[in-house]
Amino acid sequence: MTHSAQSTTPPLPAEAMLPSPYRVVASRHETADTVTIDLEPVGDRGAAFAPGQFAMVYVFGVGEVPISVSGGGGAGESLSHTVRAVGAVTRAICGLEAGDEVGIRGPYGTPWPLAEAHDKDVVVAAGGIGLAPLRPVVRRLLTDRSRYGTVSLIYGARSPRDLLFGSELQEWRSRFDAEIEVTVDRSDEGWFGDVGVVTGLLPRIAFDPANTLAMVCGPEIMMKVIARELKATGVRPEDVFISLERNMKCAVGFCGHCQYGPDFACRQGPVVPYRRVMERMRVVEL
Amino acid sequence: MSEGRRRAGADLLSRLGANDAAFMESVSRRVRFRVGDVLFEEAADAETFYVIDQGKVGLELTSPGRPPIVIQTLGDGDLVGISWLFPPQRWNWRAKALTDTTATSFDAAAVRLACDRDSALARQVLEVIAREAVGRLQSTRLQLLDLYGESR
Repeated sequence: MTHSAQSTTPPLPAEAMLPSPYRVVASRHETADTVTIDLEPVGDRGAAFAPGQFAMVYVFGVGEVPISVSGGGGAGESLSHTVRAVGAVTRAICGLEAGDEVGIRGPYGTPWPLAEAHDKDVVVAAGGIGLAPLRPVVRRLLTDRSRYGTVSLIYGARSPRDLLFGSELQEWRSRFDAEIEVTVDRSDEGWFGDVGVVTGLLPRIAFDPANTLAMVCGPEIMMKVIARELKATGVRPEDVFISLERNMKCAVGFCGHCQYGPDFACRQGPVVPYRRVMERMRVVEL
Repeated sequence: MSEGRRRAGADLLSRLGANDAAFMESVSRRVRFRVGDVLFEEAADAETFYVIDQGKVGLELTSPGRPPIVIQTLGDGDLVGISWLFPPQRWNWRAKALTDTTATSFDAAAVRLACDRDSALARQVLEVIAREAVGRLQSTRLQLLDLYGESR
């Protein structure tokens, strides 16, 4: 995939505004306020989601929110979403149990540029809940390990209690063919890992800046700082991809809620090259 | 490989000319710490600073009635200790090895004296220390923002 292809608006799914019924087959707490639900389509075959794309998840009678795919979504796989309870709809999603049904629209938006990363060193940087949209990326990188150069994940969270996917992180860390570095802003008594901001992990990982592709997801301030630090090491802004978080409503580019300068985050994003938005990220309150 | 952001300790040693590097070598020695060993205690005289060769060191704040709180971890190439350069030359934190660690220790008094006599060396050392202090300040600001909290 080329840079220009990456920024091409993907086609909309058929029946783009019509939710399909999905059933919750499993629900598990990742942290005190974050839950992963696994979904399977009811009846019909589900749509295929690529890592980085998102679905509009509709809790009947409550509302609809955009949630990135955190696992599965391929042919014959269940679809996973990891959701933090911050509002009425996300709280309702976190309260779902196996057997409950939701409506799903999608897939929407641009995916992470996994094909473009072939034969390159890959840096994955995640902050907080931002690891969820990147989990399928890490899984794919490790599954197709020979396609990539060095593979590194740096991940920061508020505290040890806020780390997502604990057992999977351990599994990734046990591999010898990838660097997995985790840090927390605030430690507690049982934490023996790193303490400090996620940007502090960048000098620890090995990558060739001239041949590196980075995928970054987290709070926008964190993404901006990581992108700046990567640029300082020599990684080109067009080789750094970030995932925009905006208030998406229709997900098909009609309503304008997620407009970000000349783009709609739901259509030209959420995954965009940093080069495309780096000037905009300096604009106050945009 | 990535060279854009060198660790401060590695930077301190690599940027010096031959004479200054030889001087630093003369006031240094290789040291080894086992996990749990204390490199220096909070409020103690800052007589020795370190550059980590391999391992991990935690800067800890001690507090009555509770275990120490790790406020930052340092790794390979990092500088452990910057208070040695400035009055009153006392450590603000405790430094403890979180893993078995090898490091290079430096006689802080000797380096201070050399900096007093050699403005070029002083400038090099100050630049590295200032950059490290600014980096830690910026990191602390990001931590204070509580980026991963609900209201972002």
